[in-house]
Amino acid sequence: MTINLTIDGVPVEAREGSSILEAINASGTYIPQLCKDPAMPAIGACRTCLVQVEGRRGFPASCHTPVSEGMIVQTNSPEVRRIRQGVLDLTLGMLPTETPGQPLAEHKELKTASRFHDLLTTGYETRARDHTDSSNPFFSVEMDDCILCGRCVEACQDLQQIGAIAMLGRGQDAFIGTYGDEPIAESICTSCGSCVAACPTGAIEPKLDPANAVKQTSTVCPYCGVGCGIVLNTDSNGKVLWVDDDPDNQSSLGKLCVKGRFGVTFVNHGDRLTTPLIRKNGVFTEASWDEALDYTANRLVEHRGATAALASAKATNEDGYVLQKFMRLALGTNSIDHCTRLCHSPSVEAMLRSLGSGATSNSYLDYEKAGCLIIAGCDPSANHPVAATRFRKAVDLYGAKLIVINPKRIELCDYAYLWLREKPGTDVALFNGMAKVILDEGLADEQFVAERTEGFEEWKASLSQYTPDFVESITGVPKEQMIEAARIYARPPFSGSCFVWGMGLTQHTNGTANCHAVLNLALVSGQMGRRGNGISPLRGQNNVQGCGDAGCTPSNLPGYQDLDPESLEKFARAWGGRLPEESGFVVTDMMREAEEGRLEAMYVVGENPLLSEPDLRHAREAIENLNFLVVQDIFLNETAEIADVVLPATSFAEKDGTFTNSERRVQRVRKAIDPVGQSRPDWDITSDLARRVCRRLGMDESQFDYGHPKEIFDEMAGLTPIIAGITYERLDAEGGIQWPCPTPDHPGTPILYEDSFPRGLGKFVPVEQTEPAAELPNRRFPLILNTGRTLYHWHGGTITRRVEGLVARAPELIVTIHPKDAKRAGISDKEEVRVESRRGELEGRASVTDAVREGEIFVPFVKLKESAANFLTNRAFDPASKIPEFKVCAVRVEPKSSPRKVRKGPRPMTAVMRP
Amino acid sequence: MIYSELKSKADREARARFPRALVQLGGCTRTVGAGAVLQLLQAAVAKKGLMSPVLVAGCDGACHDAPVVIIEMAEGLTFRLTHVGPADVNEILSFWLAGQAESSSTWKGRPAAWPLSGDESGFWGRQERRVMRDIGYIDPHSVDDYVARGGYSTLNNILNSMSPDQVVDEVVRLELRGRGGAYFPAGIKWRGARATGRSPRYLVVNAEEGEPGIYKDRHIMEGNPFMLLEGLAIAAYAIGADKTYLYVNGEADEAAGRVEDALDLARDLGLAGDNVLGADFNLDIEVRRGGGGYVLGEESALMNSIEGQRNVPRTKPPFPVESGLWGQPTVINNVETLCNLSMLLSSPGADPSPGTKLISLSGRVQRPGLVEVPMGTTVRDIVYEVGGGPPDGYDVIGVVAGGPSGGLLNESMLDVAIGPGMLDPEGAVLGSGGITVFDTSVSPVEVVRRLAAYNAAESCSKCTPCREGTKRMLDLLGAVQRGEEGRSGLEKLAYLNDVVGFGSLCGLGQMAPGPVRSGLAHFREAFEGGVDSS
Repeated sequence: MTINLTIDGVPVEAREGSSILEAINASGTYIPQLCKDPAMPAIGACRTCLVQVEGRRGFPASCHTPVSEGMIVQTNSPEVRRIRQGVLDLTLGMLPTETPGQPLAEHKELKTASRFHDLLTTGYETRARDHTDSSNPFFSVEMDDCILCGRCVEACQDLQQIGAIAMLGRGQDAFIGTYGDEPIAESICTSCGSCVAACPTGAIEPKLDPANAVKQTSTVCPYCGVGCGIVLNTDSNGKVLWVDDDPDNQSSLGKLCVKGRFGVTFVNHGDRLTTPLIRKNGVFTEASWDEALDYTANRLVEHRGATAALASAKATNEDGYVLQKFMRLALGTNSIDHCTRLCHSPSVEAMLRSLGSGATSNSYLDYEKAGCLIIAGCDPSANHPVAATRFRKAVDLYGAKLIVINPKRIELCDYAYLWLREKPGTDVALFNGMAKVILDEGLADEQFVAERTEGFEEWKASLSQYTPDFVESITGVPKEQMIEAARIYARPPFSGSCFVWGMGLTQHTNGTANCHAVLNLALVSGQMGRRGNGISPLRGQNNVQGCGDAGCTPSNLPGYQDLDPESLEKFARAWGGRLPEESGFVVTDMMREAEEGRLEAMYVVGENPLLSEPDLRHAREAIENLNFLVVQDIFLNETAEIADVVLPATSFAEKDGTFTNSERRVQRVRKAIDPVGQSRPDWDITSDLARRVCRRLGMDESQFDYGHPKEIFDEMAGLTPIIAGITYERLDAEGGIQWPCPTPDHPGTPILYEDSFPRGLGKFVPVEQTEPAAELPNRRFPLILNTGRTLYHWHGGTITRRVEGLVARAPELIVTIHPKDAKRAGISDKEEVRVESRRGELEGRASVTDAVREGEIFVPFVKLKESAANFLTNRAFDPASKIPEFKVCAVRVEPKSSPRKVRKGPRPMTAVMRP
Repeated sequence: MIYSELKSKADREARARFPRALVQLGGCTRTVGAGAVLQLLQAAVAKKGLMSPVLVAGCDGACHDAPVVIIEMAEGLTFRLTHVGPADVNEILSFWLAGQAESSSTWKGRPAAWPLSGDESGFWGRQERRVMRDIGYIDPHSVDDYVARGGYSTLNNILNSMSPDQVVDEVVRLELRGRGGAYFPAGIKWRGARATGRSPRYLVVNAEEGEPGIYKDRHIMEGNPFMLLEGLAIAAYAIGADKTYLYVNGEADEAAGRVEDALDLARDLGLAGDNVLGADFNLDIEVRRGGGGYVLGEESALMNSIEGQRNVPRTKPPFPVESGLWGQPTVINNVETLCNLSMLLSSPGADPSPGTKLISLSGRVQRPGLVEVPMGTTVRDIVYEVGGGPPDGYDVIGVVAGGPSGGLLNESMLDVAIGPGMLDPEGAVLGSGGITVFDTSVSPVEVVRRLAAYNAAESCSKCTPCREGTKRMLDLLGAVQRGEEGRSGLEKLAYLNDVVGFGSLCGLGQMAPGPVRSGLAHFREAFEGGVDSS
């Protein structure tokens, strides 16, 4: 309902329930409002937005006074100015950098407010509050400039759900501080920078000065699959100075993590590739685009029939679409894959088989609506920090019960109602055990099972041996905990249950079985297709969803259309050429084929197999065996270093396009700066290369004649029913849209499977617990290595190692080891250690803690100081999805100072798993 | 237990209770030796081999008589012994046994038959003791005394014959106003919470009472905790509260202890918990203790504290009845308010009446204490009649009314009648009922400065005008006192009064200038005396 009121004599309209301040701001009138963040509820602390309301005593604060019909508001009468000026004068009196009578320094919003009141100085003797904290590499805190408005605390507590900083002390002695008043860098602060963005005076200030920004560009974060909205603030030289959050983005709602806020300066790093390079006589030589692309086209044509491509889940949908079109149409192969093979291919495999679609069923919003959240095999606080804020909020604000399933203690354990700490590789037994409890206790959703599923009886029969005692003996999880988890999941205290999982379930030789076990749980409990429930594989890369959507997989055309005659015909007609009918190679196959000489050339776009593959020594041997390798990237990564041709691509900041996030939301990526050096957008390079290849093959090169990514998107949408209704115009006007969106008037789909599954009925797939892993500890390698990620780095670290502050926060590999194992190995906390497996070794620094189980160590797979966990990992893989077993291999740990043992012993074991 | 059982047991106990002694022991009389009196008396009685109990009672409010011991010889034969010291214990015992005091005694507090007669104009005679009627004369650790004197009959009648809405309507009709300081009609609050239709709903009993010079709620809880429990039961029933939080000041250990003991007993007797008095009414009560700070008496800060948040006020609206604890409808009532309920509702159809008010009377009077007077009594009567005026040789020049959130009245203004709201437009309020009398021996400027110092020290830090302004006021007052400020200093003070008063977020900040503003208005000469006489 609309409310009519008058502001300074001008009639205005306001929404019922909105504040007077919102109405004032909407009317274009300025009044001070120091403690009010536009996207947050009113704090009511600064008292600088006071107004006068006819018929009302005093001067209400407009930020928390609602509008009412017929209200007459004066924002600038002498009476209200007198009081507001007094408040501002008291505020200025807090800043000891000002001396009475001296002009005020720059204080952002405070300056604007005081100038508005012609207050050039304060009448008060100012008071020093000596307290500076510059321990964080990205920002510093200067309490002298703080007016105690509380916005930073609100941002930390209510927006990010971190609570690292708080208002401490009372009265005039209050200050912003951390628990125990430690420096911020020692606190639980995650450096997300929300406090910096919120601060109206510059008391919390970024170390990189954003003052010279001339342009703001609204786009999407290039890091994880959450897909947060970011606003790049760039200067006239194309330098990224500061990143604002985007409160209007429906996926992130104004939240960012440290990588999104401070981690995009890699865009301007001096290591950026700026010209094409061709290896001549073993060394890279700078080349023109014509030379490099002609040379590449010749070599690819030469090896046509034995080529493969890796697409980039960091690049746009448009980039991916053009690349797969190129491989299929011009090079005649379906051998195109991307990093999903190394992360969620088991999830996708299992979901396709059981449900018929391989995506997250619900939306982030459902996390906050759920009564139970299971977070299994992932550490969202480190890897999907903005999703983690929703989990914390669900627990803290809405009373959801959180169940963490993870051998390693993660930050969310602090919020957990239950923490099931299973032995690595025993998840199938755990989930089967939970399913049996649900069945035995009559907690199944019988109606859902009857109406929506098939294969129930067969599956039910397969569970007979998974009694609580048996499951406890396999998993090491006390049966009472397992039973309670099953009860809560099936019957949450309110609403539904969300099951969220990550690499901890997938990167195993039994990864697909794990995912089936999860899906069986969801099916038997009916926890899909409604608000507040759902299944959520948390996607890793910013556009790993979109890369698959765009068809960068060897077995599917764009939009997961099968390589069936009908679809092939549709694409062939649209593209004017024949398409290969046989599935191509997946990443893991490509390595084998290259090693064995059947794969001759590879086109690697924005991927780095020589850091992300398991058993890197072996991966390098395979790649080196290729006849021709062309790498297209923004940095000279480990793979590019051994390439024949290197093509400089632009980063996300230099191009237009779309990313699709974990909740299937297609969002616009917008060009903020001109390409660095001679770099070009991936779609543009691939199109150019494709035209040259087509020319050589006598094919119609106009198929790759694109002037703008919009044209690519429109072509893709025209061929892809799930995004058929999406256009750039809609994305610009409405923000991101969740697919499926089949028609221009379709609003998008927040929740899948409300009425049916794409394959009709959901299918129960019986799965058995097999050997927990391909390689288990023995006397020589007594510990299990678990790998994962860390908040301050991104995957292998190619980009985050090029952000100074991130390296400052995490300069070296941390080897997390249990106190008992550390004692046995003679290792003390913070000591330098060496970790060896049968395949390789790394060096890092020990963190001795019971956050890991006895017998297990954890090392993130980022490469720091030339050490990387994937030198150690095992390339044994899950036969169904072909994902390598990154999560388990056998290692030993020694102090770095101890003499190295002579390496001997067998070559790596290969996968052993019953299908 | 159903009411008839409760009542017959209480009556039985009441008949059998004589003789017994009650030592009026509270948080404050402990500081004048009442604890020692209790111990010695108990030991002496035990030594004599007597079976008669020596019990703890609350104080009857006559601070000037403390320590007080009540001896009940038989039905209708009660004596009140005042100024009892440890040395007087044997004397008391012999009085108890013989029925008369030794003529040679040096004991000051001669026994008087209770109730007193012939004191129509004095401390007792000018009071109208309703809430205070039994305090000091009943055993707070047993429900029997309370029930024998009519306790729980109102709740029982309500549960048996009135719907919650009828109770709300009746309380609205009777115009019961909150006694916490704002005098908002309690029934309207209740109706608001019910009207939301949302649950869970909460009742919060505000027993924070943090300001200096106010000690009424503590006294009630120490002396008659069951009266509070009955009142909150009526309120919880009327509101439809799913849970009641009883929030007791963190330093009021004695009061909290007695309330908790009473609550345990009430649960055992079916007066709290499920099916209270056998009716279809559940009463879930949790006692919470304050973490310290004047601001906790502010209802939204108090709610934050219950939720485990920092104790700072919230913005309003929304008001607690719509969105209080955890965003749910919440009614917050003061202890004294709830204690008025059982009497108010005991005689159906009574006419609305402004009722009585407990006044914490302190400072330079002969009879300081906790007194209960009808609304409309003049401050002068309270000071001179009830309090007996100043001791010989002192001249009253004014009072502080309403504590640090109130203001000063000078002697010529004392004919103002107490009632809800302002006693004086410059700042003095009835507030939660504190009157502190000061005389010529203290400078009004110093009185104001101390109150300002309190406000500055207790500012919670949330909003700028209060946090910064109260400190600036205090500094200015100091400068005025030291003669460092000219007339412009007083003008600055007046401006700050407006900035802090109009600008602050919560009532405490808005009222903080009261002492300064009223001081400037009513003791102008004293302030100007500090100003350069030019």
